[in-house]
Amino acid sequence: MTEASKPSATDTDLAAADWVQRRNLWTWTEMDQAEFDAWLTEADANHIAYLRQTVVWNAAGRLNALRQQQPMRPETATPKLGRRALLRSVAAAAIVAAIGFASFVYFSRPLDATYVTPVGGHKIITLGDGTSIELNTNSALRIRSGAVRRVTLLRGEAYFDVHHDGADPFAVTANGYRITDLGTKFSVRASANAIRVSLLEGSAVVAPVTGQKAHRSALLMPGDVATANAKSLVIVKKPVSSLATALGWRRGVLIFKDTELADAAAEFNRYNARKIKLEDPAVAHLKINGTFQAENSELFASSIQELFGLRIIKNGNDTTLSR
Amino acid sequence: MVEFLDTGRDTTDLRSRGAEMTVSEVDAWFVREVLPLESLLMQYLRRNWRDRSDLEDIRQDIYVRVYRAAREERPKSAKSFLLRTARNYLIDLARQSNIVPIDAAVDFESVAIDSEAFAPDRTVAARQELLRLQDALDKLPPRQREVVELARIEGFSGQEIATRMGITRAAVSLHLKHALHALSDHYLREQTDPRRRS
Repeated sequence: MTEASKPSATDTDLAAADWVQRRNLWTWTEMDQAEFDAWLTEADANHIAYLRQTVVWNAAGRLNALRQQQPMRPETATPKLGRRALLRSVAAAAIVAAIGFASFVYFSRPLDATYVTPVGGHKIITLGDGTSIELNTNSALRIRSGAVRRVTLLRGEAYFDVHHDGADPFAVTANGYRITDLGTKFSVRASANAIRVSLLEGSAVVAPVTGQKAHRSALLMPGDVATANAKSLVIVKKPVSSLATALGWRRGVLIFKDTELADAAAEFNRYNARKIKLEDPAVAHLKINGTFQAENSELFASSIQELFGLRIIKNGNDTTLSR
Repeated sequence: MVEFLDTGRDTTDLRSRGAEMTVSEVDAWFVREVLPLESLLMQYLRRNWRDRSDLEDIRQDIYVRVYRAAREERPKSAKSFLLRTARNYLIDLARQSNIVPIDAAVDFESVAIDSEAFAPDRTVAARQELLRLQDALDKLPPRQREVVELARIEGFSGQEIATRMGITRAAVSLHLKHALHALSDHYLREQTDPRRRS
């Protein structure tokens, strides 16, 4: 207020907010860094405003925690006595807690990582808390710095063995849904516009990321397989052992039990560049049993050929089975 | 095909790398001890300064004073130092501008603030705070709200948000900038009505 040229506090705060989003959401070059450094050191007010906006940015990243099932509202459980004062102190305390957790990231570069597997690939990611994530074929998973327990499955399939932390729930986002762990082993598969969540142990909540769509939210128990898209969520109960069978990919195998050949071929095609095609409906409905190496579709095709007396035609990357 | 580290990229890893950077102790102190007092500071300023349009600038100047002083020597109590700095600042300001009526400065000594009510109790869960932030988020214009959700809850990059929402990158940035600014005022300050809308 003393120097005429000084920008208003609101302008400084807006500039700081702009820097926070630029640093965290967009490509960040050496030039950006130089420009940022210059702005940051230009005035203490800039530096402070940046700290302040970063606190909010970090806090917003924790909103995820609210997306679980909402327990009783805190107010209802609080006696009338001094409630307002209590809420104030709660507010101050919680900022402290949130800030304490996140303060280490202020001036470090965001360390985001996208883990990608090629067709036929398999990758294990171990987080510091003991959580392990296995990526299946042709999959992509993003982990953001400062929020390693909020991952996004961009495509494909992943198996999660989660170290449970009630204060910091693990959450997977995929195709507009969020799966929040309540102490769990589960797998998530994202297809074009749907997800399939199979729960092996513990429990987890599946819910749309935005909106309060109760009919598209569910609490999953072991054996539950939830299939969800933009309109609906359906749960099928299966024996846990059959879910484990579906996770054969973790050992590099595909396990089929009375599986139609069409479904088996589709599974193999996820793992291999060479695609198996079935043009004859009668062939597609043949049922097979057995354990096969996921990356060896040739062996699979020739086994099927022998078993059912089929013909094999190879054309480019396609292997067509027919009578 | 982009390949990253296979394993071992863990939480502690990320943290320690951040800590090696230039997070000065003063920054950490300011964020930990001073920013949580912002609602208290604003309450004090509102009581003791008439012209509401000055408040943000006053707050900023006080923060700068506190920050600079802490760089020299860290105050024992952030709260009493912040309030003392605020008081001195308002007195200086009142002296400089003769337009300020004297009664605006009368109340400086009687800071009617229940200090216990603001004592940070770190054992309290952060949940209530997040509920307040969620409330603030709910009050944003729809597009601002959407960009924040996509960026911070779904974890999309700026480009992905632009594509999803069918808006330009510049528009994403602008929405976010204003959203963050609005959220900070709600998040760091006391609400007049802390009850959650249902």
